[in-house]
Amino acid sequence: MANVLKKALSLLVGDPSQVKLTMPKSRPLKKLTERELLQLESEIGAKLFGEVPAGHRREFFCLDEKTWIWYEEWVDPKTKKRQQTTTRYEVHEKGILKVMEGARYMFIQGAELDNLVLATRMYYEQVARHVYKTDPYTGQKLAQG
Amino acid sequence: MKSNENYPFNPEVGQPAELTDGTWADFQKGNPNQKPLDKARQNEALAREAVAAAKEKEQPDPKEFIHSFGRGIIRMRVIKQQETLEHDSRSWDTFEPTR
Repeated sequence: MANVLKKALSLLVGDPSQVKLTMPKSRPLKKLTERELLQLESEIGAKLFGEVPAGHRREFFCLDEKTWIWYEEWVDPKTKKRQQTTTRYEVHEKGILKVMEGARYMFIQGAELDNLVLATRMYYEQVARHVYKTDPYTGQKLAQG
Repeated sequence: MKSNENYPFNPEVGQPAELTDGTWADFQKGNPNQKPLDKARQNEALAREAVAAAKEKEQPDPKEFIHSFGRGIIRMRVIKQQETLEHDSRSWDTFEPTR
């Protein structure tokens, strides 16, 4: 009798052990935080300057509309200690200010400025296409493939 | 004057600026009685040509480039976050667990 009832119940509500909540691949319920978007952007940013050396971790991203961050982390082969350096490039009226640890700052020019312009442009174009699925020139959404 | 052909061309409106006062029209017709341009007008024309040449040669400011890329990124980031929020609220309205 118990088996019959169990079978009837199973037919009515299904077998609880067989229930699976399958999330769509696009994860519509997942809210992307600014931090997560920054990480996605930075994955692209890190690769703009060529291969990251073994044992290094690099991040390059746009923090806000006037600030770009370069972060590099590695293990010193001699001391085996973890090293890290953060460089901030800030847009100012007078130019692009490079700020490094130890209160070192200077307005960049020449090749470094040219390279930064190129890097930010590549970052903008690639992040627009691959993270935001947007045409970098028109601002229109790209068709989803 | 470098070239009489361009004087007194007004780049703002794309036509000779002094067409109405007869000077330019007379000049085009080759009026032999046309008086030579006075010194002030010559200087004005030279200044205009110099400004136009400088504008052509002017390179975009690198910091403006970098700033504009930053602005573009932030704009897309904000739009993406707004889209995600809208998508979330719509999804909850129609959400049904899948068996």
